[in-house]
Amino acid sequence: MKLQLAEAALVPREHRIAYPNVEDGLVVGPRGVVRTFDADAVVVGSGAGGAAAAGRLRDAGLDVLILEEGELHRTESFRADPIPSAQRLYRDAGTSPILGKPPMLFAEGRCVGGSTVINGGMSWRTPDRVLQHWSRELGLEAMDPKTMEPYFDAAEKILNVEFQNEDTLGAHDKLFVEGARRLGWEVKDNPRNVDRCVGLNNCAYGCPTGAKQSMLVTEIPRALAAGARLLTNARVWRILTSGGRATGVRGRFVDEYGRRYGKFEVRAKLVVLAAGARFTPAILKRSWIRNRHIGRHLHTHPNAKVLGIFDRRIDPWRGAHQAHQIHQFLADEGVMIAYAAVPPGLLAAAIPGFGRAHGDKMRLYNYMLSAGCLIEDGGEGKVGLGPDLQPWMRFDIDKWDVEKIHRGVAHIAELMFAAGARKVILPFGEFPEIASPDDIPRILARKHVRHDIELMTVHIMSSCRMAREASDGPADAWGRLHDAPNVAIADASAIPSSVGVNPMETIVALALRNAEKWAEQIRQDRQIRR
Amino acid sequence: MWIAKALPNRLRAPVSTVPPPLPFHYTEATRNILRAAIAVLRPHGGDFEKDVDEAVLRGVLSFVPHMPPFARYGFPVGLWLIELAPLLYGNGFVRMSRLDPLARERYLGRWERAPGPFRMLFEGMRALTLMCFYQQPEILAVLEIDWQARADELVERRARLQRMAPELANPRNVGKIARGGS
Repeated sequence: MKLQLAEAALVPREHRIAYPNVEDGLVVGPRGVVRTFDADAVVVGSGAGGAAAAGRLRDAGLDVLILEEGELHRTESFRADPIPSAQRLYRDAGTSPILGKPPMLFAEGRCVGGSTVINGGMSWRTPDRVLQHWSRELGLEAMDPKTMEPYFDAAEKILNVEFQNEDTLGAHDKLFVEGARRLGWEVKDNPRNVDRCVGLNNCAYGCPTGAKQSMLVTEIPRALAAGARLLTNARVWRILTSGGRATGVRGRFVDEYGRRYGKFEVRAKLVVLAAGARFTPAILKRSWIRNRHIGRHLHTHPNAKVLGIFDRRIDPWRGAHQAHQIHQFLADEGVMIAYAAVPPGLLAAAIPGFGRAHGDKMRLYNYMLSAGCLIEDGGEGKVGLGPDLQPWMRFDIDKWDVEKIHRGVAHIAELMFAAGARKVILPFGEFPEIASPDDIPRILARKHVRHDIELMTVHIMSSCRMAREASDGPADAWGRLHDAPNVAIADASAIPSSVGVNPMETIVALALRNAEKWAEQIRQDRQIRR
Repeated sequence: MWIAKALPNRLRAPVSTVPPPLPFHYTEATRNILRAAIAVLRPHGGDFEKDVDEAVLRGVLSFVPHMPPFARYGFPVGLWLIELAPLLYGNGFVRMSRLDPLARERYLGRWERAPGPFRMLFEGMRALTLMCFYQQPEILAVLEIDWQARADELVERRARLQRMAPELANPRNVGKIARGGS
């Protein structure tokens, strides 16, 4: 009996988190019902920016209501099975399209905790050169590296940023590092938001060990315990306005298929949009908030995948998701290189062919190293509303980005061969693989071809960027709309330009910085009224 | 709970606790087209020769309703296009699902090289089939992968690590937290 009790207790702390003040929209808002709520601040979205902002606003004594379109999936419900996990945790099961040349897939979270539940956990500060650009060239006040430092410190405390324990590194990590060092490239340790990570590599499908310190296990339960409220399955349609100020939001309860249930309205003094760089501009457009920059300047941080096939067994599914990155080419070429092992079902789509030929390649799954180059894109896309009033994204990579992608792919191919690969599979439909380092110049020789490049992204940003003047962007330097100051933005859409690195920490730091200002403004408004 | 404090509801339509219908229904004819495509697209030979086609079919059909609306509605339309298009590719008045397996493989191979949206349609079907195929437990066993067993083991391991001080659980944490400078 004693032994049984001891075994029962042997679960991570994250399996026992309490989530008070949570209501399921499908339970409280069946079809035909309209629910109305009041709050000081309504936060739309519970991801990196939404949760951080909600926490800060609650700490400032405001009555905060968080609205989340997805469901609350607890840590103990996460499984190492990508297909049902993608259906439960991702918007569109991870298959949202970005139209353009070439078209690409975009994946983002749709659950409590947002994309922090399904990202790789990379926690990089915004590079100093980017902050200096925002501060000096774009004229955004209090954005320089020194002023931002305490917010990054605070973000890292919330996220519990640490380096990966070396015991948890897989053979794929060692091979990646080995290849880079042979070429004399500097390899950077990846700061990640993990606590005692054991290297399961299920980050993209919800971490069942609870090691990843996503908003689901950090700021959301903390804010709820402090008195914030959370309403799940609540999709916001538009902001309600009166006399040039927002008075709240209106929306509908929806389930995982997007089926519509009851309606809701929230009346609030402050509306914080943190629905992501795709849905935040859509909500603003549907609310008839006019600024010609809403939805424009979209950056996608595109990612091209390259596979190396080795003679030695790697078992890429064993070991931490990503412990190292190469930033050697980031400042000069705008290319960041990293590896990430993905489950066979997802890797299969990146390998051309079908039937027997495909099976012959996939039999080598345990001998494959998958790496990608992320491009600091210079081109700009846009988010518009389709005939169904849902957001559609368009992004054409420009000729400089095409060149960056080819350079990045060539660098990875070089790394793979240096690490001992016998074949490298490329992300080009018409030039699928190379078998020798002598073929690398052929990659650069085709650098102006873009139609057959296979790209995907998980980092879209800047679609409602912060700018000093309303003529340059819809939000001011504190994330508030120039045209409606009690509407604020706390997600990646407010980022002024491409950050070049994984944006989670930038989003959290900016949300913390801006939320302080919003809370202060509400306090001042109250004092004036008294 | 706090919701009880919300203002009284205004009822605009009859309240119904019955969920709305699923966003998609597939006819048996549509399923047969997909079945025929899966039989060719799925890897064959050696250890991969497992009886998983029906599980792959169920996997694909359960995935599609989660996809964006245009894909959700475009998928069955696309399947019928593939079914009826052999005529365009010079195979005469015959449906794809009635071609013999070798001819069907050659026919789908031509879709792989088709231009623009036709290729995307084929790519979507190929990706869904392969994704569902390689995540079948029997196929994962062939690839010697047992991610879930490893997950169960590591959940327990982490629970043990949580009983240790952070610097003992990860020696790289001694006296510092990582700073994400670049």
